[in-house]
Amino acid sequence: MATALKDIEFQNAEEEIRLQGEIERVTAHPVYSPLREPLIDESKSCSDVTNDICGLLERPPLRGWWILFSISVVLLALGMIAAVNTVTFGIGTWGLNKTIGWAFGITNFVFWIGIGHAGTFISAILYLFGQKWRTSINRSAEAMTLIAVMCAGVFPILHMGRPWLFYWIMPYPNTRGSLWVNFRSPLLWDFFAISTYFTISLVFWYLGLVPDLATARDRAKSKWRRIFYTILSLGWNGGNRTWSRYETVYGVLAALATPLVLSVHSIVSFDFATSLVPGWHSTIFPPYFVAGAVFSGFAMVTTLLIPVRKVMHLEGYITIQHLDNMCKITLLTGSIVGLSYLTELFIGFYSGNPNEIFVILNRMGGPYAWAYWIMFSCNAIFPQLFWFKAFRTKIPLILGLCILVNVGMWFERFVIIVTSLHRDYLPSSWAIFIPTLTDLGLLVGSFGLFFTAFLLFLRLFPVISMNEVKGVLHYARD
Amino acid sequence: MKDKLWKQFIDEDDRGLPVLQNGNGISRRTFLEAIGYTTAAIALTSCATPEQKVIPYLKQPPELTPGVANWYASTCGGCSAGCGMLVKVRDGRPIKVEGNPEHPISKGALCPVAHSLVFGLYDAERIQQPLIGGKTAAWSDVDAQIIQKLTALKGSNGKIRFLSKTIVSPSSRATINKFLSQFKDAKHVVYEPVSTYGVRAAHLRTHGVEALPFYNFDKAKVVVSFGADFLGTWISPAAFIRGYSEGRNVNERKQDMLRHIQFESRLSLTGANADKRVKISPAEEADALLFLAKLVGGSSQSSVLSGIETAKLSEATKAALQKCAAELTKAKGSSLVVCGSNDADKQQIVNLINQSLENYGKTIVVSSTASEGQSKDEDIQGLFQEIKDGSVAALFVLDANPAYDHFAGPEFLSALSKVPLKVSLSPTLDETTSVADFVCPTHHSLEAWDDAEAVSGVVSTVQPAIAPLFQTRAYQESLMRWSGDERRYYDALRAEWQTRYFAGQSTFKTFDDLWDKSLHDGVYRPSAAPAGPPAFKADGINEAAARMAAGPGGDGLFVALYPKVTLRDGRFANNPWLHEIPDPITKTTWDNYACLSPNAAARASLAEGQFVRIQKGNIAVELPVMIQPGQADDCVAVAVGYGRTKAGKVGTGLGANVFPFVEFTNNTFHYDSSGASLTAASNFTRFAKTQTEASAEGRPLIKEYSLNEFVAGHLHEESEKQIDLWKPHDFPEHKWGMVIDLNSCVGCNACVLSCQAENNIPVVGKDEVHRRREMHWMRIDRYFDEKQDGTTTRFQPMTCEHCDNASCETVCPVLATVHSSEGLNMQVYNRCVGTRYCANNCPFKVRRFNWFLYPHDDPIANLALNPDVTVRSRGVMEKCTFCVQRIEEVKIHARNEGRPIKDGEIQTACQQSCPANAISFGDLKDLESKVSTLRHTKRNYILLEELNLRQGLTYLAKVNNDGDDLEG
Repeated sequence: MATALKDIEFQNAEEEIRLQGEIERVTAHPVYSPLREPLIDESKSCSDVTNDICGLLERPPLRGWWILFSISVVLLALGMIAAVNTVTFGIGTWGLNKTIGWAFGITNFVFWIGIGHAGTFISAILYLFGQKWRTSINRSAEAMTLIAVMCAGVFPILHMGRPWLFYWIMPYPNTRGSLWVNFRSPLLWDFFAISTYFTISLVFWYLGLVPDLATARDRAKSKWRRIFYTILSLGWNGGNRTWSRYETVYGVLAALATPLVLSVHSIVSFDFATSLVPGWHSTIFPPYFVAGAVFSGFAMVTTLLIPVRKVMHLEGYITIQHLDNMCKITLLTGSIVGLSYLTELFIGFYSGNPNEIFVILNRMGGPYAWAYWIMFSCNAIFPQLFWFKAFRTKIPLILGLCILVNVGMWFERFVIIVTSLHRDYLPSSWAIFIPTLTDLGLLVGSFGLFFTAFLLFLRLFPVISMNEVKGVLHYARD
Repeated sequence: MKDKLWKQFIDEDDRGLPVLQNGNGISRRTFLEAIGYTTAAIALTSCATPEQKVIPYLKQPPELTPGVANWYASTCGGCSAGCGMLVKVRDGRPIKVEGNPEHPISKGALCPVAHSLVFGLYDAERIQQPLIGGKTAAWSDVDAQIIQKLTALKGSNGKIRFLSKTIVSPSSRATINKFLSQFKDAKHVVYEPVSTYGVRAAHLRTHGVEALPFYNFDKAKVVVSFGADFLGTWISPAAFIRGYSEGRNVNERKQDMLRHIQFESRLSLTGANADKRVKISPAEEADALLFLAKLVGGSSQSSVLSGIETAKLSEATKAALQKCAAELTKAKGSSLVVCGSNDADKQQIVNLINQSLENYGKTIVVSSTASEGQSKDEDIQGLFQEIKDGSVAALFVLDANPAYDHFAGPEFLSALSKVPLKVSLSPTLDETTSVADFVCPTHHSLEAWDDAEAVSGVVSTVQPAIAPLFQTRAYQESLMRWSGDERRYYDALRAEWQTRYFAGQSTFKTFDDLWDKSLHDGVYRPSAAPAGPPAFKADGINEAAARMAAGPGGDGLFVALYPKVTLRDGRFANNPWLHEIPDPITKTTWDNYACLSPNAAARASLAEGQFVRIQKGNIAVELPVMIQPGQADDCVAVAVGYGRTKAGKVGTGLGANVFPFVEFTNNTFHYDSSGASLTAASNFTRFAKTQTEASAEGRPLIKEYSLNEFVAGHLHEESEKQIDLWKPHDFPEHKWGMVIDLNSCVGCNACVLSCQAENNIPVVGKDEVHRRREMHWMRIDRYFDEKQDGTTTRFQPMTCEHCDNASCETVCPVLATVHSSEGLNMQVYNRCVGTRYCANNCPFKVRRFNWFLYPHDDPIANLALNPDVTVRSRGVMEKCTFCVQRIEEVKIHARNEGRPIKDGEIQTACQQSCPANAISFGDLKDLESKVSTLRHTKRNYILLEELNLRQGLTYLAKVNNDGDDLEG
């Protein structure tokens, strides 16, 4: 233990004092738990953590990063072309029609908002529950949340007929007399829910970053790098009082963010639940959407982290144990989603409402049955394989299943939106939705935006929360 | 001067407000100039009086207030039915037509074709000035050259032929005859590609008058039709719909209704409305008529009939005919049998049936005077022969287009080169006109003076609603110039009326009184010479029956040609409104196709949209297959009017021309012919349908009862009172509501076109309709139901239902759709950001989104826009407003006069145009109003009532007259 501590390069006096306290605590009460696996690779020391994580920012990008970044930028460019096409010519460039007013746009929106649930879930809820394994993944998960919410935010604006007037859905003081927004509209609730969620996620993520940014600042050798991190680290000095306040605020923010994790997707689900379209009008939607969101979010975090730990050589920090835990949460939420599907089927028939029954039969056997069965198998059946240890510990299997979950969850939104709309009350208006190249471009482009932003995040900010990892470094060691 | 002004009007700004819009940099002088030009332009185009001078607004004409519409009575020039219409003229330009309720024949009914006339007027592809050899020329040059050539012909024996469509105007006919009388061998040949000559020829045989009779559907108790699409295209559909719907109307007081039985091989609009529709093979038609004639007692007139064989008839047909005969006999004197065939023999048997049933003089009236100016099928054949022989020295063509619509069109076209002088007077550069040596374009019917006597004894007036847009000249005036008459046709028309009508009457003191009254009313009825109805002659019945019985049977496949309800014979193929209105039965736009029954298609393993080659002899055409329930298995039905090669930007190249399948036998054109074969092709097309689902999936969207149930009062239960979570709206003054009677609606589409014209609804084209993005605010849902005894068809007009608990209003984030204090669900275009949430949440799917910026860049076409209705831009939602502009207009009018609004004073466009009077609109707060009364009748029901939307639009359930079917 003592030999390991010798290697620590203290960044400043405060940190030295903190760590010495830590050492004393650890020596006084040696933790020994043969039943638990250590959270971080046993060979890692505190200085290794700093060197590994900050080193990622200081070294030129690795080859793997460049390859991924180039692909992402190409996808993003495709999306930009599609977006310019949409804004220039109109929503007619999408495959929508008089019957199906929403399809890919809102599907993508709900999908990305769902993805954005994992970060806050990991950092806030798991924090409150004292799940220490979260420390290796919470930073990237939070970043992913922010980026996903940004990806989601593009779509409500782009899907408008006149996107340049999007600010009209905000209640801002204006000179138009009594003209105001409609507080009865779920779209307005969406606006509040998402902007609140985004704000708090941003603040939460940023707050957690500050100590690590200070570390990056202290290690910075070039002038611009130093200025950049100096500004961002908000004069962090590592003092006891600073740490104390930091911990308090972090806890408060975690408590604030927790209900938001539940509320955002509940409110997004109101877009559908409060309408009278058969297949949308359903009271099960709020919990079902939240479970689905966490489910898809975890699958997406796992999908992202597997290549990241490989490319960035972070296997020591993000261990199989982490992946195993995430798979378990995916399994849990996936089972909730599966149960919701079955409940929806049951309630549909139990209601005796011919329109509801028709929607269910149409989903399972209509023109979009293929989408329904992709959804059902990817979300309710395949994740059940996570019951087997092999599927939670073998990287290719995890990755494969998580990608399937992502596909399934995208299709879940597509199925809810399109199959409900395309055949509603009057058969005279029944129609089929066929996506156009612009639709596909925007879908692909949103992934481009997501990966581009995430890869930039990897280069600009410490990808793992160093200060928190150092705190759990000794977990289950000795 | 005139042209310059007009150009200025157009070049500067299509709205006629040239410099005012410019903002900065207007000098006072420019401003005054602009005002001068604008007022002059307005005055110039408002040709309410025959005065053809520019009047500045120094003194404003009393009848003209800028911003207030004037209405002029005129006559529809769409077809030869001559329905009376009112033209709405706003600031000098006609923007809308409505039926003239004072017209004794059409009684305010108009068909979709009439509504499309306005768009045709502003078609920049009309010929804008005379052409010599295809090059633009001045009228003086044209006149000089033609007169020179005619002078040379006057002395010779050269044949002079004048080929025209049906000309129902007596004055025009007089002008033509006067022109032709200059020559030794001159003849007026009248030609209609979709002919009803068979009916007239039969009446010539049986009544001695070559006349179209008038059919009083309102007086009939039982109507039996053999393939006559009298609600869609046959003779005078708008007037027939009015009579038919009157006959079928039932309410608490009138508890009997017309019973309609249709025998037909393809599913027509008329058949779709029948109480009983019997699907027969085209091969059966002749025998079915003969058998019916025998059953109703016609055999007393004909020995052939009594021995008629019914071997060709199927058992089902025979049974249906026997039942039908019993019903007809029971309703003797108040029944009516019609047949859509153009075969004179068949029509003669129909006359015999009607005679046996004592219908003449009651439900079917034959005038003692022939309807003149109507087509004779053999005449065009004679002319064709003469042209081929090279004996025609000069051919004048007016609105006839045999190069396209004659069955030997290409041959006709090449033969035309043998005619040394070809002069066309047609307004469009069609297939025939484009080979003319001289093209002397005539006015559009909305620019012209004329009269019309489609039914003997009812003379309608045609008056211009606008000064000619282009350098056109009335054809009558051209003929007068060439006969040395320098008057305007207006003067000639008045002179004609003076001698024809004023001379023989005593009601009017001066001619101007008669003239003004007639122009005002749109119609003049000269006191008819008292002549008894011509007597029925049975001569030739035996021969006709024998010819029919021996007629060609059903060898191979029948090709049944039919005109579509909107496009008819293809004359107006350049009118996009008519193309985009879906066919009432197939719900398909912008195309023609080969309709096959599901059985026939399955037998030949053909899929919908697959191209198929229809071959008969050396005639072949490739068309996509449309699978049409309710059609006979041994026939392929194809619409004529498509496949134009020189219709213009819109109409050229749509569909395929099937006129070559027309046969000329027995002196008439035949539109059904057997002996065709089908070969599948490998290519496919995608139809642009506005509705793809065939059935209502068993959903109770259209409530219907049998007449017995209705009389017995066994209708739907009064619904339970719904509980509202929301406070109901407060309607302090009015609450507008609409009731649509599904029993009256025949699905003719007039409301859809009327709405399109009234509300500036853009045309989006075939591709966009295929993407299900048509913009019509009003639509007619059509549902087929396959029952044991055949296909039933139901129509349901659908438009915004103006719900009080509107699902669209709650979901709009920006309050762009809100409820008015008068119960209207309003769409605020400039507030809409286009989330389309409202459309998703509308259970009726009546909202329409502007997917693109639909072009409004043709300055001439833009003149058709209604200035009272906003032209919507890209990215906003739109929908039916209950014609809020009309409501406001009436409200202002009433307020100015300090009186309450009268019930019925406000008419929405769809309501006003409905030939069946199926739509009622009014104030639900007024308990005496018609809508309030109808809402409390027992047929009233609310669509999707379980959603508790509290709609402003309700429906009256359909009633079917099952006749003796139930009693028996």
